Amino acid sequence: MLQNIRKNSQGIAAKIIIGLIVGSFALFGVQSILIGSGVTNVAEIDGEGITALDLQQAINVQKRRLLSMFGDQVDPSMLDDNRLQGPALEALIREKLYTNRAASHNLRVSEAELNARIAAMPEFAMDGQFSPELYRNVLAQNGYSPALFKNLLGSESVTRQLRSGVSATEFSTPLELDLTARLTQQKRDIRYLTIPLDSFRAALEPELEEIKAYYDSNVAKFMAPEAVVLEYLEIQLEDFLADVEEEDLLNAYETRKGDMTRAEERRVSHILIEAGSSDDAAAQAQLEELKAQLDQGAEFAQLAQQYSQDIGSAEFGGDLGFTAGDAFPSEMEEALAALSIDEVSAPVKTEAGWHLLKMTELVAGGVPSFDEVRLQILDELRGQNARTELVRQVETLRDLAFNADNLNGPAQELGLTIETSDRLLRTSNTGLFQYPAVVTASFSDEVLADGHNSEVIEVAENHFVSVRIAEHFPSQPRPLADVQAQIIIAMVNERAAKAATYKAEELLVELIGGAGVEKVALTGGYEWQVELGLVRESGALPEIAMKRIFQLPAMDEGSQYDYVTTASGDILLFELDRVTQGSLQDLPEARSRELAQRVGSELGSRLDEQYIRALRDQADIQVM
Amino acid sequence: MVDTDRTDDEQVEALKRWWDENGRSTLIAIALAVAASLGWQGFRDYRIEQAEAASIVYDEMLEALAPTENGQVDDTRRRTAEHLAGVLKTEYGGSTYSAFAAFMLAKLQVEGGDLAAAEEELRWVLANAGDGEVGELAQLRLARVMAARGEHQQALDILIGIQAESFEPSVARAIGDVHLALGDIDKANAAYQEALVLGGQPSGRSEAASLLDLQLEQLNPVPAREIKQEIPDLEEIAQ
Repeated sequence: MLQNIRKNSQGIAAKIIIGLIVGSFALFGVQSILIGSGVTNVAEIDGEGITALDLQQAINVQKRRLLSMFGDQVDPSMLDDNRLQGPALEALIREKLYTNRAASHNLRVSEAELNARIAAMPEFAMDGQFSPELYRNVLAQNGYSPALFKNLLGSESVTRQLRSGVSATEFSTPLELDLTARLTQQKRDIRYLTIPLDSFRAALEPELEEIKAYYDSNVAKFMAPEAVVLEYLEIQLEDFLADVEEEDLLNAYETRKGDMTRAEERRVSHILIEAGSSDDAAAQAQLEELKAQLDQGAEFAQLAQQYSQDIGSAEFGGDLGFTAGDAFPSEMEEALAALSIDEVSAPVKTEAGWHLLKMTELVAGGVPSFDEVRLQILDELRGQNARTELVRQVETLRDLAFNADNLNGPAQELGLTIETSDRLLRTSNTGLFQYPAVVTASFSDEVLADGHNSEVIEVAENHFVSVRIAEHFPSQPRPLADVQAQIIIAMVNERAAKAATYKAEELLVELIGGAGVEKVALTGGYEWQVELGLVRESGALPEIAMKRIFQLPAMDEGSQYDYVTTASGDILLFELDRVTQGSLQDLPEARSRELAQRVGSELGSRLDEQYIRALRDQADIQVM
Repeated sequence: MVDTDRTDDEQVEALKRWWDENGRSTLIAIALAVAASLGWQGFRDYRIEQAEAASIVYDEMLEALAPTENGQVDDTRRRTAEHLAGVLKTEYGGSTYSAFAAFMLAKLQVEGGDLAAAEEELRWVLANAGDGEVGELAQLRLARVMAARGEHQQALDILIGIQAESFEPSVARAIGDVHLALGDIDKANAAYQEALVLGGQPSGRSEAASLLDLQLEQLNPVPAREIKQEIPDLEEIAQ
């Protein structure tokens, strides 16, 4: 049959069929025929994948942000991929949810608009102008490709449009404002007296037996932390720094002097006059003129400052720094090579324009003498030898420490002295315990329980220790004498608080009986006060008191009585006499606008929260 | 293709015959398909262009309303925003941008005290761009504006009729507000409780209690403490 088709492909019907096939490609494009590239997804939202690559990128961006925020201070655990992964994935999912919904609302930002926005970003501007190079560099530093960045900018834009459309358009109606004002402007009249905690302390000093009893039943509160004294062997690079034979130094010099050869270097200043094809001759003539002035004794630096069109160097008398013969265009280098010190060249032409060159310094090249580099070589060799020796020692100590019951043998064998640490608490961070690895090793089972030597720990570069426990002080109760003062304070506080509460209860009964705050206060010698028209947010009284006062029901008639214990331990005993509902009318214009703003923005942020939750609920989200 | 018994010539004959009978209608069908496809693409391009143009106007409108240094939006900027919102509604009516623009106008009108005009804007959204959550939002806001205009029962009817999918807690809260305005404490309380439960614990809530918490606290007061019967004296405490 294939043969038939081939034979008949000249026929009209066949041509039509082929035409249809070709046409379908032309009309619908090839993308529908392309297949996925096989990348792994970490999550899918309504069938659209977030790839592992996307996630890694988001993690990296977050890392860079943390680093630029905290610099070297950053806690390395904060940069852990596993820790950043959750939040990064969450952010990607949200972004996807918003952009998908924005797309279904046909919210868009055009390519041209994105380009314009990028061009207007100050981050990418140099001298007030968009710099494509800076743009690419900044993006690269932050781990974005231009396409990715633009994509991100686009989804960020439509996300903002969507969210603002929902929540920034929220308002608060006069009815809602009135309902709110009723509460926020509600006024409560109270009288209160303060029962100070201090007034009970003196009478409640505990007896010695009571202190003893308290100590016994609360012994867990008075434990001294676990501590150890360590024995240790320490090996450092400094221990092995030894003198080097002069002969070895000479040998090293001989073998290395080839690498140490320096090129001849010239320091150059210039005066640049820029030139195109039209003003070429004029530029050259101007330099000839300057050269004549120089010959008559004018200062090169001064003329450079005055005339040079190389703004960067003009300021520094035209100084361009050193060249080893390859820093500048070849025309310049050739002219420079022909100059002697302080000589000024004839005008030289390069792509930039015409230059006058002056050589200001010449550093001879060639091989440095042995004396010039002796110290440098000595340093290097000493370090090299010491490191070799250090590594050998450490390896030996590893074996010895592992096989010995204590550090005596290893110390003897290696000619080291056993050092003894101060008493170190588990929580200390001084001495050897400044190194977390030593703390971990010291309290490990092998070292603490079994009494073995620790393995050799590299606490810093070229710095090793092996430790064992010399003495162990388990956590134990501190002696009563040490904590007696502390106990007395705790007991007195506890008792005084109780006593104050009982006192409050007692006075509460009197208040309810109709005695009145004023009389009760005067009889008991307490301070008392009146607060008329107390409003919720005034903060006139301690927070806990405000809260309690406004929790009480708003009764039309009669007084209510209650007390609260404040953070300082003092008790506030109060009488609530009257509750007056607030109203919007009572608010001055400015305040009511403020309230409208506050209520509107609260309602708006609730909408914002509900929206993302709804997007999440309505989407099919698979996290792999 | 068809009968294997036929020779190739016969098959060609058959095809030619089929072509004479059906050729014209086949060509017409293909032409129609091509035209429809081109038309669809054209329409899609047009929609994209429209959306991109509306997007710029919308951003300009938001920009005009962004608070300046003194935190206020002056009248000129407000009028600019209103004009741009008007453009979105007339030139790009039916788009989500136009709905957002009408929302913004409604907000400005509520702030300016013109509830009737705000109601009109919200009804415009419902009539012109009221799909999905945008419609839900329009109904919620319409009901709140009507409640503020004293049309409590109508407001309740709208609120209860909303097929809330995205903003359930806000709808419940609005119902609570209307009941409270009508003095129906129990129903208000129930609706607010529902709003609280549906809303969950919002992340990053400020230390100041939210307004919903305040309403609930007010509707569910904690009475003053009762007197204890026995009060020990100081000597007993010290024991």
